[in-house]
Amino acid sequence: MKLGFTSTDEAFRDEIAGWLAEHLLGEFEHIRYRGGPGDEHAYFRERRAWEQAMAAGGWIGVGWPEDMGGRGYSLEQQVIFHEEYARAGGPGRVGHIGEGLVGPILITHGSRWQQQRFLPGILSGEELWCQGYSEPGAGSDLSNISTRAVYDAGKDNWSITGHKTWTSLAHEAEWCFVLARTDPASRGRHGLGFFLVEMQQRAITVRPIMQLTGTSEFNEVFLDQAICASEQLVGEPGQGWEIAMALLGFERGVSTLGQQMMFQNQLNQIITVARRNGATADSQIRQRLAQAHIGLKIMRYNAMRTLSGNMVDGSLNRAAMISKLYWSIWHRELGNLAMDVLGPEAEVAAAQPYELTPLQSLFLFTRADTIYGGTNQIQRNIIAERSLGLPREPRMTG
Amino acid sequence: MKYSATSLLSVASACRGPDVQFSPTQDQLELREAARNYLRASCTAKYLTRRVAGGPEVADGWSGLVEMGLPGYLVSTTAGGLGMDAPGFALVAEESGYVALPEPLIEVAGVAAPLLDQLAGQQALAAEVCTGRVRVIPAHPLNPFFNQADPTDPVLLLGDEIRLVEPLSGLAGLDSIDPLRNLRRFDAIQGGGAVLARGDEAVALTQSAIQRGAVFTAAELLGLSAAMIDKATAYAGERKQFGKVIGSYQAIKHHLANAFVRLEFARPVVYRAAACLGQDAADLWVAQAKIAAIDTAIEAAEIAIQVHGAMGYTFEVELHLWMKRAWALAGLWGDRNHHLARVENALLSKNLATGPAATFCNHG
Ligand SMILES: Cc1cc2nc3c(=O)[nH]c(=O)nc-3n(C[C@H](O)[C@H](O)[C@H](O)COP(=O)(O)OP(=O)(O)OC[C@H]3O[C@@H](n4cnc5c(N)ncnc54)[C@H](O)[C@@H]3O)c2cc1C
Repeated sequence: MKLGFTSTDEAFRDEIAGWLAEHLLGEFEHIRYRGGPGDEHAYFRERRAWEQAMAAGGWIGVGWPEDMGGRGYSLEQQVIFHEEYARAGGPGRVGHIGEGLVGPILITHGSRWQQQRFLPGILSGEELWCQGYSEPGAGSDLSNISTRAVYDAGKDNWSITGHKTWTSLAHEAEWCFVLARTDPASRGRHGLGFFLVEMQQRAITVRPIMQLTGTSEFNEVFLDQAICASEQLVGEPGQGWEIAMALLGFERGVSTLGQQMMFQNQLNQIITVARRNGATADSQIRQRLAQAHIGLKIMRYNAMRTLSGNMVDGSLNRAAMISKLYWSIWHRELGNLAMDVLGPEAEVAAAQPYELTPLQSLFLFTRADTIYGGTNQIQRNIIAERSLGLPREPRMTG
Repeated sequence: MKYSATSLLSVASACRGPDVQFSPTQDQLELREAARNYLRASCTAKYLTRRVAGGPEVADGWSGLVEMGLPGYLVSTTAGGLGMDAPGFALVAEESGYVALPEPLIEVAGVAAPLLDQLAGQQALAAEVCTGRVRVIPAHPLNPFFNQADPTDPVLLLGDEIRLVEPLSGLAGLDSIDPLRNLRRFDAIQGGGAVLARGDEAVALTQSAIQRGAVFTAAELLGLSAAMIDKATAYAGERKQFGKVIGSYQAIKHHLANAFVRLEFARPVVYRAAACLGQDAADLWVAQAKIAAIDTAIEAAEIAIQVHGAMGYTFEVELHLWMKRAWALAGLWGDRNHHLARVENALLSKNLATGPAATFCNHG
């Protein structure tokens, strides 16, 4: 693990900081600090334009290899990129699923055709992606999915039918990666396929689900014989589970550093409020703020350790496995702390009707942190089984 | 409700101190039963969802509460009330929390009405609260924002002068995080209005009104907690993952058991405070009650959401209304820090007696 930055790194820092300072202005000024978790609905059109401005500046896929259209930056440079992006108040990225998950999985598992067809749309910020894993009956038990894909040899395409749910950004995305059963007789992890499905087709209906915040970021997605060309199946039929899991490995990748910078911004904001409203006079609040600060440092060192080990293949290792459980609990407590710092004001919405303040959204959104991407209960089971080698939980399916 | 307070209370009553009433009377239990039946039949989750969608003017449930006599629960019979006492009302407050009642029952019946009843010359007004002709909403700087669903309700301004301020017309309401509460800023209350009490009398009445506000809010929080635990338990018994109901997983069982244990430990604290209002140390007991209830409700909300998975993160499953109410009420009539400071102060600055003679009798 390297802890310092070279002069080349620092020159790079100046470059990205300078570019952000020049570009997060004018039409983009008001979207600074907006669009993060709990606030994804905010200024979507502007943030899409911003994604394309980032693309024009060459700032998407900075960690991807150069022959895939990326910039092949070192780990240190990627860290710097995320730090500076958050420091400048860069808005929540609408292309994060494409850049952080789809790109990497296509780079490692995609065909040449898939890489040529899909990577440019991500790098240009023109094609957004969503993740079609969960279903009403398949949440924690993801392998229980029942969405079916049927191959039509005459047309050389797949017809997909099923009901996906909690699909973030499905109402905005051009594309969705869908986990579906290619072998109707299969159960559990076997017989699944990983499909790249175009959202704009009559066979797909999207229904937004209202969240605690009163806004909608996730959706139900109904597929009724949606068409997917055969070259849009990643890997082979039956390889879906393996690919789906490899993709989840990227979720714990370098993007966690950007997430931590966002956490730092949130903590700073809470400290600012505490200074302003006098909450810093309270010894309990002071201690909780100090604990939050320490927790953030712990996460940062763990992330650096993880990334300096095995970054590009996104493989799970011990350090990565413990990260989600830790940050989700830390972040949920940060939400509680924000409300306690605000005091009675915490109850009052920013405006009518039901428009919440950023800290209220933070509080509510952090209720979900311990649920999505594997609940805390499931995380603990995984840690106990894979890190400690305890016997597997009894399972009925699979 | 699965957890009846009664069973626990009757055990507690065996070892109660000389002036501590842990066990409800027959009258209190009957009234609680009536309130429970009425509230659970009328204030259903469906009804709440409709109100959220339709705005606060849709089908106010106040008249039903008036028919039950609840606004006058603590008002003397001579003024047309039921003449009941605070521990009994705590049971009703718990029931109102259980259904996440949007009506300002605690404010009107728990805080304002008994104060008016005690004020010379205001019994007529107390009687009008009982008949439902007026609904008086209490306000005090301890609550910089207070719930006032209807801007035509007069406001009872508490403090070292107690005043009745006529409707706050023209004042825009504020949205609460709880879609069923409509807030007003305390600072925005204009001067004027009739002075009802001054000096020592006003201070004493205000102090006990605040205590009632805090303890009944604590009871309401217990009801909210019980409902959230029941909802999560029911969900855990239905939702299947990995081929089994999630309630069969130890992780889920332990979470729900923890919430339940905290709730049952909080109950006698709240009842003891309700039973001892008006005594010298009531402030301390009320503080303990509010803290116990806040901790219970915050934990119950967190666990109930977790057990529901992504379902718990939606506006479409009504659990969020309970969770948001708990959040709002946690800050009312003194938040956790406020009350903790009182306990701290009593213990460390005022040399609260903690010896054997004090600990288990009527102190602490
Ligand atoms: C904000 C948000 C965004 C999301 N975005 C997406 C998305 O874009 N795409 C997508 O595919 N999905 C998405 N999800 C879905 C997410 O992946 C699921 O919510 C998650 O996997 C949990 O599944 P569930 O909600 O069905 O809960 P369940 O699996 O029903 O779990 C309910 C409770 O049971 C517990 N439990 C279940 N099994 C066990 C066990 N074996 N042992 C102990 N406890 C257990 C859980 O921990 C939880 O507490 C999103 C969810 C949220 C909240």
